[in-house]
Amino acid sequence: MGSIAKYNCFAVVLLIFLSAVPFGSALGQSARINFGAYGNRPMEIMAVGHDELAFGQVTAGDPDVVIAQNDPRAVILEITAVEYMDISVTLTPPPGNQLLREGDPATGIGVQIKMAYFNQGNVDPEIAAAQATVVTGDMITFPVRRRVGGPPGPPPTPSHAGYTPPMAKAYVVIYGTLNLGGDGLKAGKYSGDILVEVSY
Amino acid sequence: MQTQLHTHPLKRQLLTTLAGLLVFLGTMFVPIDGQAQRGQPGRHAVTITATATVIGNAIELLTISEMSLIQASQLQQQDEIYINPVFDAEAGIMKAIGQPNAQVRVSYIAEREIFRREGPGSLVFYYEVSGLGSDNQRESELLEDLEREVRLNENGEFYFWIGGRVNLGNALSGSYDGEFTIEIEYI
Repeated sequence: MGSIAKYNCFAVVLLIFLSAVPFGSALGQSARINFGAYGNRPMEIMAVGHDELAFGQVTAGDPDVVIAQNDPRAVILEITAVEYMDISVTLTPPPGNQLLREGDPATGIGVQIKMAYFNQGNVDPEIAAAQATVVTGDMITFPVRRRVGGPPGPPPTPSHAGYTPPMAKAYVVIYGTLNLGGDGLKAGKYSGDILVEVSY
Repeated sequence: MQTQLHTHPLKRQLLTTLAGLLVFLGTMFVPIDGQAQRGQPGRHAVTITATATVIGNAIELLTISEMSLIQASQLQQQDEIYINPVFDAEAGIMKAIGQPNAQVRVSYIAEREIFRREGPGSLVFYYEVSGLGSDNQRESELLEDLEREVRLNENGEFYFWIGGRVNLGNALSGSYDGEFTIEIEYI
């Protein structure tokens, strides 16, 4: 074998060998880049009006109390976040899906907490609540501002000092049903905490 | 003076191959997965409280604590034991729960006989009751009439403190049992 052939052979062998060696975690990974790790993206979340999901006064033996998403008693959360980003919203209902009796935590009332979201821009919160998309389950990821149509725009400006990215509002509605379960319900005040977490 | 640089053909080929390898290997070290730089900026949470108030058709009476006669007798060291429902910590506590802001009538039997467990023998206990729409014993009002009208608070609650007096001067030793009865009805 001539010298040239030897060099070529060596190069090919080296190439094949190096290709087979795994280099850390780079090989075999899906190409999802967490942009949230690159820079400090602002976000603000606040309840519009009231932050209590009040089912009100009920009497033992009454039918279930339903608060629909467009009910004034529903809680509307307004999220102000970077317009072109996706956000994840996680709902944690009260433990055991129960509102517990004040001073008597062994007694509870069943409750089903639901959420819906609206990401079509800054509108009246009540309109957003009425048109919100119902979420199946306790977690949803959606773009802060839904793209209306057409091709995607140019890549966003990278985060850097002094730069404020464009912001937009999205809405999450918290509503649900109180299951009174017939007679035998003890009088008193019942309550439970619902946790809503939002992240990029 | 001219300077010329010549490379051996074998070396050129090897250098080209190695250069290509370096480019290829360089791409392998770009971190596709951003694990090393992941923090959790932009994570927010809000807590919403869900509430409901159940109004029962019937008024419920809860015993929060029993009257501490034994403790009172140890403190007072005399034949007649007295527990002041307004001031003494040994008073029993009860709570009524019903319709918010409802007017109710309260009645109780002030004089009750209590019986000795070990055999014959009894004592007479004279109950005294005070009440208030909030959990504040010192502000409670003595309910001296056998029937008294009071109002449940905005949560449908009313608190009672139970005291009274008993004379142990001629009492046989032993344990005595008795019940205190209070009746509440909507007006």
